[in-house]
Amino acid sequence: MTKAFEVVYLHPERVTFERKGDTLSMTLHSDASPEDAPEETSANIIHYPRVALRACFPVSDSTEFLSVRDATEETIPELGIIEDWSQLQPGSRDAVAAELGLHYFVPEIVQVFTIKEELGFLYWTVETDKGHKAFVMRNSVIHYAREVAPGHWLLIDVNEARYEIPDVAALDAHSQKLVQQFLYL
Amino acid sequence: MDDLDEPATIPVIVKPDFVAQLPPAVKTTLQAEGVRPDAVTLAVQSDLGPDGRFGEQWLLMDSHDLWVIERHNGTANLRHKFPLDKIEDAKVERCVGNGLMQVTVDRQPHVLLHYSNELTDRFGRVAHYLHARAEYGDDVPVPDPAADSHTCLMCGRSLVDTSSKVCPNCIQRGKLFRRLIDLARPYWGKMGLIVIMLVAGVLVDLLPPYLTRILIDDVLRVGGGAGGDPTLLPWLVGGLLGIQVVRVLLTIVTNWMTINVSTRFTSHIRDQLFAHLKKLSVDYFDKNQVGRLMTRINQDTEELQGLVSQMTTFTLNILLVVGIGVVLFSMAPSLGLYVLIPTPFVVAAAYFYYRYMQPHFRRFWVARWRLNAMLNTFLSGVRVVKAFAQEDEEERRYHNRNMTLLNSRLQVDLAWSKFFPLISFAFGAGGLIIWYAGGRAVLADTITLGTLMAFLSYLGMFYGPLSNLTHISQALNRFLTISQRTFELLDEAPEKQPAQPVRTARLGGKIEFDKVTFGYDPYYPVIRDVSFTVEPGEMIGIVGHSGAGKTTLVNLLCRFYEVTRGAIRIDGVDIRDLSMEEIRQQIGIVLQTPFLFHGTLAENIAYGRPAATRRDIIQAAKAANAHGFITQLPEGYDTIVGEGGAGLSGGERQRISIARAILHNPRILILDEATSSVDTDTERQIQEALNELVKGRTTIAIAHRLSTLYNANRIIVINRGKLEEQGPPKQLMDNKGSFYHLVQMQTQLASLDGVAAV
Repeated sequence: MTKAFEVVYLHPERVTFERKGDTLSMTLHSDASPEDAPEETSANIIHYPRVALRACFPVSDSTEFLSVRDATEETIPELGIIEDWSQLQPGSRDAVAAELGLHYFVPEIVQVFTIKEELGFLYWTVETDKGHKAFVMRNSVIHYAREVAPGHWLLIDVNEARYEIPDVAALDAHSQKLVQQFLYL
Repeated sequence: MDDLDEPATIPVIVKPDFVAQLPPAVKTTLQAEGVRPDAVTLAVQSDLGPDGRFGEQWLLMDSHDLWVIERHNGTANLRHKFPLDKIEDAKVERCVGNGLMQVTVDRQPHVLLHYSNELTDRFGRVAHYLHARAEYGDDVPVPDPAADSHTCLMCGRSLVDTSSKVCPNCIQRGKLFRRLIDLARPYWGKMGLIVIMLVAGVLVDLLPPYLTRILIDDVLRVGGGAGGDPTLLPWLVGGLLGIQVVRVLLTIVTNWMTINVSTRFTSHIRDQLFAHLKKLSVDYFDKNQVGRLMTRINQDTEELQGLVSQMTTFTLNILLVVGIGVVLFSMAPSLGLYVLIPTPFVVAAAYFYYRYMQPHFRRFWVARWRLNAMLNTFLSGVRVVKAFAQEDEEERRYHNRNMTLLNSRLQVDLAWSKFFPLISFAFGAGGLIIWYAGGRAVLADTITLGTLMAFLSYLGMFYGPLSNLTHISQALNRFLTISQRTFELLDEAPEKQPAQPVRTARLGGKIEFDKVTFGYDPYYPVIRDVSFTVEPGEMIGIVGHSGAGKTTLVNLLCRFYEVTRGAIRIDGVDIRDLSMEEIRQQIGIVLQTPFLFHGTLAENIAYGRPAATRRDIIQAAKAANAHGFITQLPEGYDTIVGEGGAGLSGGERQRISIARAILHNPRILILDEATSSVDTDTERQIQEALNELVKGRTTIAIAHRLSTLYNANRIIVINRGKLEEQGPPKQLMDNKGSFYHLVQMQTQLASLDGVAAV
């Protein structure tokens, strides 16, 4: 048994991910598992029917340090960490990218059409990389808008949905003006 | 653009007319599956597509099957189909910014679809239904996924902010005002008086220029005709002096009354807010952070006070503008028109000024807040900063924020210095026009010099109030926002009380948990199907890993939260039928981190029974093993503790809270990790005090250190919200079940002799 404080790293070439519908499964070739893996697994292959993925650094870097977890267990225990998942085989890589895209649903705002302030709420209509969206956030910049890196903003709406502006300076002039006016940049 | 303005509502269809509402492509797909659309019993739409973009997916059910159909660009395709009878379980899971729904079929997990956060309730209900159906069979009624979800009480659209009852679109400004005026009912008389005084003030203000006109035209007779009437001079000057005196008095009284009314009005609101706050359930306080509630009660009411005063200023200015306007036009209609020429410029300049300045000010405030937050972090973490030698890094961070603050301050001042001269120019230009046009009229003898001078004086009083009125809408908006937030809190439903509470003379102390299921969020249960009974006078120990749900059980017993399913009974009566007061009067709690209020030790001990005598207090302290150290303190029982008070050690504070519980003399005693944050010696002292306290009471003790439970009648082991084991400690040790393993683990860790004795 692995000790609780030991980090298990999964070798990107020894794991395969497969996505059926929205369900992500993983097959682990036992060489990739810790050395004291049970020998009984005849083919040295363990299949996990549903795994969950958690990025260790979802905001600053989403391709490094990916925690793979067994979603069939109630506590969702960690099976291991993939240090750089861009090194996975192409099929697995696509499956991982799709799963991460769904788990971390944080649309990036590419254009701001309108921002309206009314009775303590900001009403935004925006175009994101994931489609058109209208959302509402409380008009408290201090609590619901965070500058995670210079020029990189994270907005949290009333439903706790998140939106990112990766670089305010990269927006068009109209959007920039609105963002600056309402986020007090 | 209209559809861009409002967040679109995502449909959920359960009514019989949904056949018509289903998109045609989805209907066609269903028909291709051999299903008649009118046989569908449930149709719920998700707003996310399988590609991880905003999109459209439908979850549909008839009495046999479940389908997930995706619709994209007008075409629909079937993603999943499962026979309902084969679904063994269903649940929703939280992701980031969205959630997913999973079903288990043939012991294989299948993720059906993702949906955005606003739809959590809907899919949670569907999952709950599928779970219940798998467990109890197909006679479980199909839910209405939209039932009591957060929809606006007025328009039925889904609410953007679930903490309010009405969506901002529907807040009727008029209604809000009526409520405010209603709330101010005790001050109506004074408010009426203020308005009368304002009118009087305006009338007084209008007099001096009129007298000046008489002075110039009839007394001094500058440039025209024979000598004036010198006898009028002292009267006129005296009149002007009198008017000024009256004006000063009026201003003092009006200001005093305005301040008086606005202050009293807001403190009245504050009282009402607090009175309401104490009626709200613990659940409400979980959902609303302390900081936000503090803002609502302190800052909002303070700002409200300022705004009430500001409203008086607006009223005054409206009266002035109207009064002076009337006078100007009646004095010289032709000149009156000239006054209007610069008016649009004044209004526009003032309007742009507020629009332009406001963001600069807010930016400055935010920058100042960020700088303060940084300083606060540094000061409270100064040891850590020094220990890790990060002083320079902190200095750099502080400097950066300070620079931001500097820049925003410069921008404020720059904007101010640009606009102030411009506005003055607009005002001055108005005067110049009048000088020119009025001068010509005087030369042509159509008006007198006195009229022109009076006109110019009135003009000086006209543009100021006019420019002030340009930001009336902003102030009004702010006023309404804050009033709305205040009413939001006042409208929050208080804790549910039974209509006719069952009266019990004195609780015996028998507790029954009957198949209790509960989740702080109903879709993520943390207590599942827990049943156990505690006989009167029995002591029960609840053990389990942290996060297993031990404290939740206690919270449910105190009725801080309501059970989702099942029932809790005290002496055979469902606690929902007991009055809240009665339950809590009979329950005493000793928490892990004791809370002391600001006040003396005696007051803290007597918190649950303020009428207690000194004799009782000392008796309780003695029983709690606290009397010894209290009398050693310089101020004894009069020592002030709590915020800003004397520092007591953790063990001492704990013994005070035990004394409080002893004096409260409850039938049921709850010890929630009462000794887990103190050292072994203090623990022994507290344990002694507790042994005294539990005598003759029904006791539920939650403990991390199992040694403290050696004299419990029974032990209940909770694991991930489920009851895993129960029985006398000895029997559980013999069974070698989970309790045995917990004890083994602790013995290995610390080799506690108390446990070995079990």
